Amino acid sequence: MASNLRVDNIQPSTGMGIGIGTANGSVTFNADVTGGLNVTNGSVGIGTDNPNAAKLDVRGSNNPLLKLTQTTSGIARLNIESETNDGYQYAGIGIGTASADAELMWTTLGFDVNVADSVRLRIPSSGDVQVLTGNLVIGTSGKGIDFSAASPSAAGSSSAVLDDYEEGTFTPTDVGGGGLTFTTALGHYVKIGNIVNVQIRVKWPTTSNTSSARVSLPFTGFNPSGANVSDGATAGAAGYISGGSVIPQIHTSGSSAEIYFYNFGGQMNNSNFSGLELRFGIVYRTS
Amino acid sequence: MALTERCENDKIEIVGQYKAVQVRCATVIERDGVEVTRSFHRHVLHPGTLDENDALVDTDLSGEDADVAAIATAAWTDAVKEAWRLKLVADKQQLV
Repeated sequence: MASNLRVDNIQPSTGMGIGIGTANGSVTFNADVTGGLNVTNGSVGIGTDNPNAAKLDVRGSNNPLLKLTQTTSGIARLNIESETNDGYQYAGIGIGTASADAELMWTTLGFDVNVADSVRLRIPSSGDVQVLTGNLVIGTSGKGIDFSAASPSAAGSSSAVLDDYEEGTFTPTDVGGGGLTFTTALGHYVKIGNIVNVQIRVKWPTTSNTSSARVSLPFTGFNPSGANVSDGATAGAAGYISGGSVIPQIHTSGSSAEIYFYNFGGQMNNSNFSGLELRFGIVYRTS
Repeated sequence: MALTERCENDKIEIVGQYKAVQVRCATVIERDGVEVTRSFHRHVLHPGTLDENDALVDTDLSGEDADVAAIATAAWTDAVKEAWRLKLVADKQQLV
């Protein structure tokens, strides 16, 4: 039969501590107790008898170390509040041993993710997501920015994902079989999604070679099911060549990464460009 | 402070029916082991070119990095090379 001991105050006659229970025992607040455990001016240590500056210091090897469970429907919410905010910072969670590690902060400016004492990511109440330092790095191939919710894109359309951007250089080479080395061979490209914009500057050596005049591209043309939809992509302005205009044109007949040259008589060969230089740009679709 | 520069083929892709090999070489400059800049240079390899008898001359891979050469060699089967050759021959018919 349980026995009760009721006192108004427990004050040790010597020392500072009060021991309750045995090694394997526990202290239980029964369900019918409406009061709580009040520590008016001190700290509570769990797993430590020396709370380190904090009001509540929990130490141990448990995983999780701290657990909050909502027993009714609703969100198990941990509120971190400031009764007297300084007009800027309302509340925050420190992660790591110092502010230089990481913090989650709620301020007048929004919800901030701080790393190494700088705000790296901010979500203001407007709903925008701001990357304040560094880049937004897409870590998975094929993933990117989804515009499918934007009119007039169809909802859920995978075609509305901007999943690539790249700029760089390439070296245009003779791929027509002539085995030529261009005197000048410069190429720059910008790829946005699957659209490639290239600028090319090539100069042919003096040659009588009659192989097809063909210059490499940085990406293959688009050829879904043999449809050759990149065929016909032409430079907006023809390069100069004595004796007439030149039309640089993709003519993949398949998924190749080449550009051909035409004049009004048909496809041109290397001898047509002997010692001549072309500078042009072209936009085409890649796969 | 030590600046280092290295090149790595960070993308090697096989594209299309003729198994074009798209290579992206990333030039990475690092300061004391921390990346400072990264720039890209691309090139595309096809199985070969035609000689005067319309035979296919295999693309010379001796100047390519080992990883690129290995992938190209695996991708360019005899069937792929023959299809590419026929494509080049067809293109040739359109010459001036």
